[in-house]
Amino acid sequence: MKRRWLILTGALLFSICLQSTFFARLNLFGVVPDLVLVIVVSHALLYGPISGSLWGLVGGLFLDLASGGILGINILLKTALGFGIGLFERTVFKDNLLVPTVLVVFATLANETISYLILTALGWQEKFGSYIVFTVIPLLLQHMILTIPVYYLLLKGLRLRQESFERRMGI
Amino acid sequence: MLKPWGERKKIFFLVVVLFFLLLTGLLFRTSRDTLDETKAEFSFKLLLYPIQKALQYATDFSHETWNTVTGLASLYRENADLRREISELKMEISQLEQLGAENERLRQTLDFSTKSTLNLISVEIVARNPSNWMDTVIIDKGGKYGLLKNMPVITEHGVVGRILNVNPLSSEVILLTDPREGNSMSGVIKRSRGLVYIYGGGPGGNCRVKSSDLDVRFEVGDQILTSESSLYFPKNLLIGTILEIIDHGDGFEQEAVMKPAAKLGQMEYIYVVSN
Repeated sequence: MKRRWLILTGALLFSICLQSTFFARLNLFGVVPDLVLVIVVSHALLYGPISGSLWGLVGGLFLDLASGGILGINILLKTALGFGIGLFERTVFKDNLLVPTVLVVFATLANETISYLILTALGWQEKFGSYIVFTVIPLLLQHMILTIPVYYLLLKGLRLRQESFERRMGI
Repeated sequence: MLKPWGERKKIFFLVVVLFFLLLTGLLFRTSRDTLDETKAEFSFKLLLYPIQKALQYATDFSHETWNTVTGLASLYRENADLRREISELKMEISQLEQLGAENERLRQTLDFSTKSTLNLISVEIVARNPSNWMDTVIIDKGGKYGLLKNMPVITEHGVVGRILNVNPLSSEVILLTDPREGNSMSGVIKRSRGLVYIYGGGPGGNCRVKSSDLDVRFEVGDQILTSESSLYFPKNLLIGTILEIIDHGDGFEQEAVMKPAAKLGQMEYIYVVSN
């Protein structure tokens, strides 16, 4: 249990630091990818709604604390998305990389649209059209590319975990 | 003994509803002062800083290695040092040019007020805000180096923003383009000296500019400088250039899109104005 929390905290902290240093420096298409969202979606699809929402909750909290501004927006969205995507766990074919890629597109659209609605209601100043063109579309492209290695790594981890469990059980 | 499924379901939904109510409350509470840092944010950023610093070194290293491999070889480091030197010299030239322009203007109006030279602290960008909603950067100097909240931050090209939060070893700089309410500054059109207000959140990582008066009109290509009435910024620093004029159709209020003069997406070294 302790190991699980350590992995969860470590992976999410590392991804936020990576987001704010490496990817910010890369500055691909002028936006920073939301690596936490990609990890939460991929994880939820492999481990289900409860674990998905837990990763969403912790990832969202870290992201809110690191970004400043309004506290709670990322917690709310990432937890809900982790839970929602996790519901597909038993109904989709996990080995097909197209599934997480498509779900990341939907999750990004939902995350960005709801964020936009909440933030503009709270006084943020950005036009929806320019936000879609200059932020959401580049984000979608980046997230689609990032999902493949992130999901592949998490899937490998899941397979290794299952194999070690089966060995211990003598199956 | 385990409770029946129906009852557990009720408890689960109650917990979910409470969780969302709590979060909504938190959201509204923290939305009031979005430019102020909470203690939790302060501590978390303090915790993140060493990891970000290490990753920034790793990123810089891999970036440099990649450049070295792809053709620049050993000349790259020398080039980086020279670029820094050029950047500092450009800064000096820019200041001299501003002083010259100021001098010319004052000579014309026979006003002999003096302008103090800027006292600059060179800082390096360690990290950027992980969210696309906030345009802030973390720099490698903080309170221990004499940095204070709201100190102006510039490059050799123009104004970058101001210091938002100060930690002992690092600080957070809010860029001109940050769309949060309250992130605004005053400026003047170089051509007409008309007063304008600059806000973040413009299209494509630019700023929005509004005129202070109906007589103040924009033209594409107009340069916007810091004004004498600015709370934090020294006067006559270049802020940006008018890219596009937005017509509201009423013939009264004029709004424009301004491209910041500083290359906000490509900065490595910036300067804090300490006086």
